[in-house]
Amino acid sequence: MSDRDFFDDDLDDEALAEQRAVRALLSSLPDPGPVPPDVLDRIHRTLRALQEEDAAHMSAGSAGGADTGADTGATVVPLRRRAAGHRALWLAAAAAVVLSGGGAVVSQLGSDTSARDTAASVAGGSPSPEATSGAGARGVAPAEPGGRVYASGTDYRRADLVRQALALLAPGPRRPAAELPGAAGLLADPTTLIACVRAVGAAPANLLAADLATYEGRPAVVLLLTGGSASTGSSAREVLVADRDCRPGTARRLTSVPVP
Amino acid sequence: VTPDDASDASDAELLAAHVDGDPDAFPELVRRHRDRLWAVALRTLSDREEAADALQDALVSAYRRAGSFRGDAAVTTWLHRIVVNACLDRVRRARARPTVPLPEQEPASGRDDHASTEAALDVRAALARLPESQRAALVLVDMHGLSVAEAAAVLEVAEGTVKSRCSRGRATLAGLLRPEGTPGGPAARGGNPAAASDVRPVPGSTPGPPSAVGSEGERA
Repeated sequence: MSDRDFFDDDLDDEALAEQRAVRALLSSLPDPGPVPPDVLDRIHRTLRALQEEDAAHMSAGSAGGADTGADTGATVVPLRRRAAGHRALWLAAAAAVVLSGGGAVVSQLGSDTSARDTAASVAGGSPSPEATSGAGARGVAPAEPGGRVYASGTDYRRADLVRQALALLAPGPRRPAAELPGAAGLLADPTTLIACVRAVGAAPANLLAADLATYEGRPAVVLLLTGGSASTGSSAREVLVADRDCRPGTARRLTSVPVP
Repeated sequence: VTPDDASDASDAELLAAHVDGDPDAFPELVRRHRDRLWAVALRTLSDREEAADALQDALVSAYRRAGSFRGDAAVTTWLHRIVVNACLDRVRRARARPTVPLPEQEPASGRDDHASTEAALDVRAALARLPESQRAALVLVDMHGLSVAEAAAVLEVAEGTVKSRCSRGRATLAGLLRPEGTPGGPAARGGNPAAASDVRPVPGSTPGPPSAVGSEGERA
């Protein structure tokens, strides 16, 4: 390969000489070296957390899809079928789970006796008319410390889930929501959201933000939690996505991701 | 893939094993490529903490998206692509949330002051002032030795676009790195409009021009 392969064809000699000089300068800069130990440690811890999450999902799934943990009361079907043996089969199985509306079936956690008491601290009181109208919704109920509720209509993506969810903590308006079927139900009654959070295995007190949106195009509620949900047993923050129809007995957990 | 086998397996085999549930596969893949990916992140972002965050984001993304790898590029290309995208995401976010301007910001008069001169003497600081698309192309091609075709695969653009980005980036760097007072040098940037139009403040200083990625007059 000629070094000419790295340069535009229409450069005159002077410009080409300049290009070569800068290329030589850049290539001569010292290599940054290996990943520093502290960064490496972070990466190792993150990978371990991911593997532990996978293992938890796998063990829940291997119990016949009906493992009701003492801590969570939740039945979780892993989104990733590990050890499937063949990628095509895995993809087909995953698609079947999604298309059939399968996935996590989460039962109600405990009693809801405290739900009404906790509602105000999570949802910040009654939602604004803007929120419940389903159009033009911004951050709706400025919650008391720890809980903001939005109806942004954002289409969250698996690959970008953490980044998108963390944006909920940033100040500033959300983009206008599209039509959000089911949004009014969750926002109109804070106890419904409380029940939803409980139903997916999380503690309402740990809710940092909730967003009525879509996940991979599917109506969903995205929960940003601190202190981890019962499913991870971690103290780290976590993004948890559930179907929009998030009620005790019917809540479906679509995915959860630890926030690195 | 057992731990003993892992070191013998190809990258593609490791990724497939990870998708199939092998807990040793992905860590081995990371071990193989982490230093190179770190260098890309650090050189693209010019900030250690930002680079660390970007690398972590990228590896989490790769871990979770492994099942979507179609095998139409090398695994290392795929990993580089994810890291570069994570870096560019962070640059865009920093630009969308401007903070207090840093000293390297160009003064309104267009004259360079001491801080700008210092940046001109520092190749890395100068590199950090390029539009991120040009910076990423130069990092991959000139600093990491990727071919134009390989860089095009990482950046998911045409080879001509990579060449164009590199060319414009080098021209801008040359202007920034020339000794002050020489034609096209920092103090004379007004006489080098092509270079001046490409220069942006260091990331995080002010919102950059809208020509973030792929829009600075490049060719396909």
